[in-house]
Amino acid sequence: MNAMKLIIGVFIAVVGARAQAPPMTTDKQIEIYQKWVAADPSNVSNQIVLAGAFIQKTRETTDFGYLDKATRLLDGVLATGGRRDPEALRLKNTAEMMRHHFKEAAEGARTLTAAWSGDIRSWGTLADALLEMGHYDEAKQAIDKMMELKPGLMSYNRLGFYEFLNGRVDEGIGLMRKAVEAAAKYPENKAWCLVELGNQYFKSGRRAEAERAYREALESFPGAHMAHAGLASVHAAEGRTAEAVEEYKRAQAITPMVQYSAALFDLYTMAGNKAEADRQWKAIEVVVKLEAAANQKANRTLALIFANQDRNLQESLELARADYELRRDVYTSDALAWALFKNGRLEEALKMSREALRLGTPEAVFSYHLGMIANAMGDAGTARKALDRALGLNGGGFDIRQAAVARGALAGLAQGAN
Amino acid sequence: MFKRILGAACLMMMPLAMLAPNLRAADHRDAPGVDGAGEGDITDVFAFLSPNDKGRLVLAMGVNPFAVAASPGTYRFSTDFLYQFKLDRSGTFKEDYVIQIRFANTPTGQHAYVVGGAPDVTGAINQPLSSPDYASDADVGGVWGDPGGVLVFTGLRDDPFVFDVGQFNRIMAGTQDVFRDLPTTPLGPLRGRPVGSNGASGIDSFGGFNASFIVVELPVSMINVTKMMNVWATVSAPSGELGGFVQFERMGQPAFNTVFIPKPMKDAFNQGVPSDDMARWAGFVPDSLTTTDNDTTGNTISGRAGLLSTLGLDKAGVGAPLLLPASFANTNKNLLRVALLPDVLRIDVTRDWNDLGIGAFGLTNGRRPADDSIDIALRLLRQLADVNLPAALKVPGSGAARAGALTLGDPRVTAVLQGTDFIRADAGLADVSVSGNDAAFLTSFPYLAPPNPIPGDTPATSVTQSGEPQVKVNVTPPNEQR
Repeated sequence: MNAMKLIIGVFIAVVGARAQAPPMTTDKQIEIYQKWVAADPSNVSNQIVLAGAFIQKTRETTDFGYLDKATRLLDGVLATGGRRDPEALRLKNTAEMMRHHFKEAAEGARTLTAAWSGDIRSWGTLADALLEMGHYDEAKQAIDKMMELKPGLMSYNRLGFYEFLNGRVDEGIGLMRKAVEAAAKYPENKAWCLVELGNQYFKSGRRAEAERAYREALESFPGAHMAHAGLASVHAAEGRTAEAVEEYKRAQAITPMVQYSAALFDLYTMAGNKAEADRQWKAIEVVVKLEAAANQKANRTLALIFANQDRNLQESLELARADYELRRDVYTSDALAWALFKNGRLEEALKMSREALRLGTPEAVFSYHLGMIANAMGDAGTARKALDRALGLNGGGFDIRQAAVARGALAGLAQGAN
Repeated sequence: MFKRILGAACLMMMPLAMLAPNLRAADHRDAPGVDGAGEGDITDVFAFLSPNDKGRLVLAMGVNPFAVAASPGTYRFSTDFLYQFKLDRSGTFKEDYVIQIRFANTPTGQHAYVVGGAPDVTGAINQPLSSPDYASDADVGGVWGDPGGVLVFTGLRDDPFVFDVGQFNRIMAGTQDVFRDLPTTPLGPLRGRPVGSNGASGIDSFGGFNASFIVVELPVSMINVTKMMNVWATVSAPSGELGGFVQFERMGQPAFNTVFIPKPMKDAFNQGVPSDDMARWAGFVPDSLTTTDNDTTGNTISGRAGLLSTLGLDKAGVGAPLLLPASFANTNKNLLRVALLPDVLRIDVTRDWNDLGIGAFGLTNGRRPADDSIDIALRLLRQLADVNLPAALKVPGSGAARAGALTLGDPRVTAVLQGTDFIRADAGLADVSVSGNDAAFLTSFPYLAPPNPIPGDTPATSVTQSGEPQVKVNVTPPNEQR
């Protein structure tokens, strides 16, 4: 009977603690798949699933050491006996995308879709590559094909992004909501879609909805560093600087992306914390050195950071130009426009800024850049209109430091008008 | 060299704790690359001898879970995919006979093409049969073929799977504890579903839903098998450059993938082949109890049976009766592994069609649509799976931690405690040859019940319900033909 009481107690305690089996992490999968490969090195499928897990790990951490491992495995599979395993080819295309080899990824995806027109994953890769390259009409055709094949997670989120790019925010949000519903079975993918949804809310000034989406993303996948960054941007826009700093630090702790360092640099600088600001800038400089060591010359993110801080302006222009050679999407056009502006090349900057806004994308930062360029060129009407739009889209939340610059420019324009 | 430079750079910058922050993936959309495909999602596989002629073998596979008659998009077969029954007659767990089914769209619906024969290649990458020894085709939605040779049905049917998967998922998520609520039993307040007015507490999550089925009946003699055979089903997608098909889905025994394969690894499982299963997945199946005490606490099959009885979990209202006698003479701690893996249905064609053969050489001897597969699995696991209970309990299994045993914190332990999901009334739980499906099965080909109709429509009353297979009769609602 004593044993019975003990059993009762233990069951209640264990069940009360909501015991659950430990989650199968990507690290654990890698460990298991590595054992499979070691036990049966000639089994191609073992190598392919391991490569897939390495790619997933890269996606979660942005540590490209894992992508190198995946690529080596896939190259080995594809070289073995001339075998063209389609799963290996698809994964290789994914790896090319992650390395920003958009042209190669598009070519690979075209090959696969030509061989099997029902291959929705390869249509997705093709759409992604074309969106990055700025080939929007072709990208839309690929997305339409995906929708025709199967309206679902993969097609909804791409169409949702396309709609946003083209200025149709409500449609974009509606589709991204559908993508979230369709992603219910895949926590990381669900979180990814929720972050995209949050971003669209945030960029259109709906901060409460954005915050909810980012928090739900973190519930779905706690490692979603982009959701922490999204929350940080909401906090920053609302003047909750300490909370913004904490969220950026959480994002940075998961994946030390350079834009998180840049955001923290701004927040610490505005708070007068020079020591922490310097520490963040040094982190950015580490990235610069690593990029140089790796002979990486294209990087629109670094280009924007340098331009925003009025540092390394020549390097900013070179980084943006090199990226523009790889992809001509509106985001790269905008980065190049800003780098050109900061280097005093106003005519080219204006042309590039118009190119960035060719779809009518409701990105406040695009309008801010156009406004500043127009202002410098003496076109007060265009400047006022663009800066008004930049500040109106999400209440200046796009970048608290640059928003202050925009307000100053608008004030100057108002004084000039008087 | 590049890696060395990067490594050196990282080491130099260690104090910043910013090792190798890579930018290449930082600023482009890395959109999700997975999606569901219901038309390739196998719901169940069945293999059994015809109840009307033990010289005939029936094979069935379902896809398109939760299909509804009102929505053709939920039940169409893919015109891209290759659906296959794979048969292994030599015990190698590699197919040596296959039945391949493909579909094409027509102005009025879909058309099915069926071929059978020895495969040109085996494994996860397949080619259409180059020289089949059987071939036929007909529109989807009916029975066709030769009652003395090969009979085929393709189309919408009631989903025969019976499982309270909603409650199972709640248990797995930790929001519920067991299938039936146990507020006042010796186990204390374990949360579950309340007993309803019909005396049952479980809810069949698949009740009222349909699935798209492929059913084939053929003479056993045609495939030249005299005793044991392994059966599984696969779905494959075109492989592009290869010119063949690559498997992305498979199934053998019911619910093995659901219970034992971790969610992130399900794709790897589905892309695999049975002959690799033991090496890959045995570690995910717990040790089996034997007649030998493995921890000096009496942790044997009889010890477990005694513990379940002491806790009252074999009593009506609390749990299901024990499936195996306490004296069950297993001496192999890998019994569950060899019963569950490789993931195939095993069928002995010399046994009677309704001989379940529980635990004889797998979970069951083949699988019939009416089998209570879930209760069989739950009961076998609760009696055989080694569970490491806390040492302080001093009951069978409460020894030191053992590799290969489940732990009490694993929700699968509480999921199997009662040995049933209580969908049927308690009085009938001892009989695991019936599952309590919401629709009556046919007594003749294609055996599966007609589909649940569009709400408000009259259920199909096909001539096949009379017991005589017909050639090209329509046994599905007219709306399916759209």
